[in-house]
Amino acid sequence: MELKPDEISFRISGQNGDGIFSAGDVFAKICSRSGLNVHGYRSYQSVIRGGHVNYSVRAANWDAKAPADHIDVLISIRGSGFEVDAPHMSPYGIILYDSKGFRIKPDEIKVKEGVKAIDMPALELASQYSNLKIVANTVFMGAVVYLFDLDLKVFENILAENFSKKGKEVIDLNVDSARAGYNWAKENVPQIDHDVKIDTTKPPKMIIGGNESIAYGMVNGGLQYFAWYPMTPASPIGQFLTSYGVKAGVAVKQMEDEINVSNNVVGAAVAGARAACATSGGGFALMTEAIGYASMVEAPAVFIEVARGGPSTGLPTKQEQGDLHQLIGASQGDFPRAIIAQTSVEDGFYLGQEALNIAEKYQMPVLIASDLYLGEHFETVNEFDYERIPIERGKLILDEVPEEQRPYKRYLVTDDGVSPRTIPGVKFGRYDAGSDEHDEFSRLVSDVRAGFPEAIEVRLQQMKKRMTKMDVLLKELPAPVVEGHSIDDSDLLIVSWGSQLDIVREARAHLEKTNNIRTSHLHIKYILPFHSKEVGEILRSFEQKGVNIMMYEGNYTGQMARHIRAETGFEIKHKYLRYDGETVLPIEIVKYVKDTFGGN
Amino acid sequence: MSVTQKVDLKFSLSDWKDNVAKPTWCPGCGDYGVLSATRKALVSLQINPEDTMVVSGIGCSSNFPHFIGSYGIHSLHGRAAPNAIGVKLANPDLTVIAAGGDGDGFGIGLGGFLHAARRNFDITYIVMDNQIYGLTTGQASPTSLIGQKTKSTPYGNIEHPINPLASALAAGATFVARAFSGDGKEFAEIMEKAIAHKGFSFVDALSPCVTFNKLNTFDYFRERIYKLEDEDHDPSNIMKAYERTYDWDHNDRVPTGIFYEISRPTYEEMDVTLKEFGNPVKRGAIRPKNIKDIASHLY
Ligand SMILES: Cc1ncc(C[n+]2csc(CCOP(=O)(O)OP(=O)(O)O)c2C)c(N)n1
Ligand code: SF4
Ligand SMILES: [Mg+2]
Repeated sequence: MELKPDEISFRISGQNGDGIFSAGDVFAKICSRSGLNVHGYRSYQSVIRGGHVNYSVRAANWDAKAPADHIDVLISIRGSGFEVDAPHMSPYGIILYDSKGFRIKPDEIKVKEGVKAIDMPALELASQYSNLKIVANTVFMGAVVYLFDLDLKVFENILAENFSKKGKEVIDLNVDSARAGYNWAKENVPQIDHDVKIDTTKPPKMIIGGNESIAYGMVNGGLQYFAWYPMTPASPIGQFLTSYGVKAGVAVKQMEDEINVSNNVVGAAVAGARAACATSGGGFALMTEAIGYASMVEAPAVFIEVARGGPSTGLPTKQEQGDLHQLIGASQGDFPRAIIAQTSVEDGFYLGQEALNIAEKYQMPVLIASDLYLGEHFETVNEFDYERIPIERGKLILDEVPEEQRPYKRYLVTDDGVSPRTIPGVKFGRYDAGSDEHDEFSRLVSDVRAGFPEAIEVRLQQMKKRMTKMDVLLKELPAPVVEGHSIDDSDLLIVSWGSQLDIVREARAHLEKTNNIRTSHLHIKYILPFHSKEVGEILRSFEQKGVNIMMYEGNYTGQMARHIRAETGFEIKHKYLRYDGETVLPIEIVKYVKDTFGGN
Repeated sequence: MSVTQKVDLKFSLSDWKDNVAKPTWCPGCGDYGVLSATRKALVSLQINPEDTMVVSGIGCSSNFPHFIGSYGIHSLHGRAAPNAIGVKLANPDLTVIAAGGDGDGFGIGLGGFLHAARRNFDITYIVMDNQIYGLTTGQASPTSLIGQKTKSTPYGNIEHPINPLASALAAGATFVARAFSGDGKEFAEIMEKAIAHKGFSFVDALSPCVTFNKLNTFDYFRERIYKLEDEDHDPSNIMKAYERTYDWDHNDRVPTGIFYEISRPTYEEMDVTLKEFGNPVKRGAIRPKNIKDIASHLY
């Protein structure tokens, strides 16, 4: 190895029930408390016991915001790790396993050349301190701390915190086990050579997942009401809010199904609460009728959709960006709504607040497109700017309708399409939030009045009023800009959207550094209303310059490419489409680019 | 307080009646009686229309909020209950009344109805049960009787009707009653008690559809109705209440009145957030002071 790697990459794998996720969490914490930036993600299945799960953590002094291409150290609790995880080892990687403790047969052990597979008596070492099998993990983790030359004391402190409720005896046996693992490794395994600087004196950064970040952001944005029905991979949003959001005053309601989640949230929004809900594809399908309803009654509500592998129940624990068309097509008729993609863990914190603001300012539903990879992976983040985004409630009347506005017209026609809104309890502000077409006073025009000339006028007036909000909103939203090389200096324009921002960024850095391919990047965040003019101009200008253009996205049909074509008339011909369910590694994008456009 | 002494009242019938649309129901529709009884009960209770939310689904009966002078939500078919509990949890100080049809509440919206009942939100849910789908011009509903010919059952209905009162009892409703649109006086009394009851009140309103249901007419009910209070029914006894809900099936007698009423803590009283922080809407959309504390486990 010529250059020492400037990052460390760790994975632990085993069955559900082996404590894989807690071990991964601990390693991530050790790294963040060592002053490092951390990226982590889990791979798991839709079973409670058995199967194969893993947890990958990458850490560096620089801002590592994508999954690592290789694994330096793997703890393979079970034999299956040699099949699933071992192929991803870096050439100098080390695999720790315990053949005796976890009955791994010799013929299961397969490794690439250069990779060291080390049979460590973790369970035997652990048995000196405890007869619990899970303690072997602590022994293994002690060894990992040594292999990466991390500070054992940091690990010991985390153990003391994690077991603080269980008492000194339990803390001690875990600390002893960690030390035993550390010392065993010191005697038996060479360390990984790396160039990552450890600093345990820096205050650690927050480690947070993409689901939690948007939930946390909404709380900071004055969220008052949240409803949910559990569904992977959206559940951590509800879980976070019901555990921590309630401590900051958020009312959280688990409902009986997603139809009623969505209606419940619209009810709360009409009553005056900043309200949101979250689900995944199947649940979102059930919410669709209520999205048009929210738009029709001009209720502000946020609907978060964390996509997983479809169609139908599909791949509940796997990644896909396959629900874009469902989001765009959700609910009958033409109606205003915003559709915005979350683009990173950090973005979630600000987007959660922005979405609530847009919902209230424009009195419309805001749909957030996230996905399993983004929602369930976590990163260390820079200290959030809690004051960056003010709470903006728009034209909301909270006490009494001013005299000059009486008799009150809830759906008053205005220049920006947004009417002053009352909530129940406000004097002189009564109205009916009706899902039928209505006039400015909120009176029905769908029944006895329908078809009369006056009702036809009302229909046209109210449709235009509502749709005007889309034009006004588009002007407020920032148009996408191309990052990376300028048009005069670029070999390739990569177009992507949503969760894949940082993965593409890393792939681009890699292309530049090791393949000398200069790239530009157009990343889509605002999906509806869409910056058709700006996006169309960018694409056409790159094409005219003769720069290659490719779409990269996580679905079979190229849904964003089709959306772009529908909005701009521009067809992106090269498409790298992923629908296998796995987390996409930057190196895989690099490979597609090299295979498609050449390069060394 | 009698509803005729309008003069002394802070809120009078006209507060509930004026400045709203004129009902668009067919002449003679049972829903008129439900509407006027509900308005009377609200006046009797001296409830402020501006602090009241009437929430409905979709159907003839679900046009109800447009005809009553409070705030209203005319939501989606079958969604009165989830909308209503969203309103109530967001602002528990409001008087919340959910209203709709039998198709709305026992067909498409059955899940929401039963779950709202078991959660014991302090809301009143009134179903204008005409045993037919009125607005869609006369198909069978979940309460249509066996043998009834409708547009969707031209050879006679072969499905056993749901027993809404027994269902509400089984779900855990803390107030279960039946009222007849043809008896405005008793109806208003029942509505008054239902709204005053702290917890989930369910009122099954016999409200004939004069246009599409030629079987369950005003006369049909007049021949069969009796009042529970005339027969010494004990509304605290749930098993007796169940028995009475089967009188129609078993004995061709239709009881009205309060089948069951008990007191149990409401959802709002027990919710952790409301207990600690009070009314979410009145508290306002604010940046929590402890925003950093709630994330301390993430370091
Ligand atoms: C999702 C949905 N499905 C179907 C309909 C059509 N629909 C409107 S009202 C109604 C039934 C109304 O019956 P009921 O609730 O008993 O009210 P009624 O008209 O009898 O008062 C139906 C099926 C709809 N509006 N929405
Ligand atoms: S169709 Fe029936 S339920 Fe509808 S308004 Fe007419 S009588 Fe009433
Ligand atoms: Mg009906």
